[in-house]
Amino acid sequence: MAAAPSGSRTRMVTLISKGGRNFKMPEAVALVSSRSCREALDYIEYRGNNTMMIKLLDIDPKPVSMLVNFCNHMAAAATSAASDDAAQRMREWEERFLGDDVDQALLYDLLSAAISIQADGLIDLVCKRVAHMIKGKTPQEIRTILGIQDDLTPDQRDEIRTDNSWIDI
Amino acid sequence: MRTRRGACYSCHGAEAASDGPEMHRRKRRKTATEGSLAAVSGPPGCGAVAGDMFEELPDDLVVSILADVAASAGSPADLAGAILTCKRFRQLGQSKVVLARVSSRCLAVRAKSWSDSAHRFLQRCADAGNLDACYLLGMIRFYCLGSRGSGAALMAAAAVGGHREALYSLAVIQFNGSGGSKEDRDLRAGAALCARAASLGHVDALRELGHCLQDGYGVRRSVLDGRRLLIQANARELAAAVTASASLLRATGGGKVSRTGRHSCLLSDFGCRAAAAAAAGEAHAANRFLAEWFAARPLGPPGAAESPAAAQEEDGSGSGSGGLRLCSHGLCGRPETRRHEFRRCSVCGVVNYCSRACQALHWKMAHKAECTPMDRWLDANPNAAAGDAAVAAPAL
Repeated sequence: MAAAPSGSRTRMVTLISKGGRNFKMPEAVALVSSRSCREALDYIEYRGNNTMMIKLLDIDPKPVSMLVNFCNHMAAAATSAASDDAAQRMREWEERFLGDDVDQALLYDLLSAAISIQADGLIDLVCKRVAHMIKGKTPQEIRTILGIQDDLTPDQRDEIRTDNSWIDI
Repeated sequence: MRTRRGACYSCHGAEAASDGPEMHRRKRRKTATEGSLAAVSGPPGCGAVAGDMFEELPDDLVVSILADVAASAGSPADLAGAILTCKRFRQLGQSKVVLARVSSRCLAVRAKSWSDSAHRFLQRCADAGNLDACYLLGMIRFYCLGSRGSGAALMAAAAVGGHREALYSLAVIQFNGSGGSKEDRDLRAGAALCARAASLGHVDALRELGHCLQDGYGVRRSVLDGRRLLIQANARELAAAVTASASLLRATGGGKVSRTGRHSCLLSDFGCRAAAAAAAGEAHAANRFLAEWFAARPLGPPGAAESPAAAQEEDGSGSGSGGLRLCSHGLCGRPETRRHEFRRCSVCGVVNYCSRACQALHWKMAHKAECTPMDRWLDANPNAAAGDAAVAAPAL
């Protein structure tokens, strides 16, 4: 991996969101979280200027900034020592990061952004959040939350009910 | 209304790498005919947009979400609700990735609800590689349904995967020669399995191994090492109880502080009563199933209501089931598989146990108060005449 050239500024990775807003993060940070960046940088032998640009032109600025925020936090956590305390703090940070003010639309945008640069940590986190949203709910409630259609045939529904007859709901 | 048609997905790392350094945009749609966007006509507002977005999520992410639901489920109903939602969930919910991550609480079948569908569910989870399911189904098959071979095989599969309850249960089976005759007991194998379970942190196995070392039972005798292990078991049990009560305190916002008092019990052979009581709340689903099963189907003498065990193909256990007893430690739930398999308390002769660990637990939770010496009397049955039939009285 190329080290930062001595005496010049740190290499940055820039994410460009909808509306042309730029969000930068140091290359080291991007390498920790984003699989695509790691693979891409493997290919690039020489980069004249110091910035790698990633275009996410469909995604709003807010999710992209949250993504950068996540990557920075991950990189900081990776360098600090692992301990029960650190794990607890990480969990609390994750809960705040995807707190109640993050509505579904934002969640999906964040997911798109994470998928684009293959930030596996963030993808997992969003999946867990969605799982948390639907865990323990009735089917109709889940359909309302996620906005999906009930397309099961009556036969299939009966089949599932028989399969699950041992569960007291 | 926003659309997500332009969103770029490139979920497969291998493909992205082969595409070179450019950030490649590729649209990935789920398979099959359902869910064409034109057909989405759900409730207006956020729901419709969300549905739009959800439909476009690739299958592997939906599987990942369902797997997270399964892993965090606190009961079987948590996952069941998701499966009933739509075709896609039903189909993806059957995938091995999801079934392998079903949590042990989601697998916890109750004995009163046992049925073919429950059996099928456990079987599918076991086939997907879910160790808890392998263990639970193995215990049910071995003890309740009488299929010793397949039950033991399932437990072995879980044990190979490092499931410590399975390792310990197999050790108990080896020590007792369950499912076979007295000659099938393999003390060395039992001790080895105990050691493996103990190294993974299983407190009962630690205790059992400690007693084995003290008695030279299946291992070379070493009183000091045995003692060390017993103390270690006590310490672990106590530590678990303390952290459990501490987290309970945190959860309830620091309510009444329970007085634990001084713990001289660390040095006893049998451990701390309070710690055991705390652990009792966490009894494994398999033990609970066995206890409930045999509560409803008493192991009576032949001629009483036929238990399913008697109807199975294995002989030697079901046919002569007169007088089969349960382990007197109520939370264990294990039944004998042949007459006089378990060993009884040699002081009172009333209670009997599948293992010394169960004896230790029951002693401090109940039996200490009620054990009264009876005059020695010879047991008429030749099986019990062997010297090691009775468990030595606890020396406290």
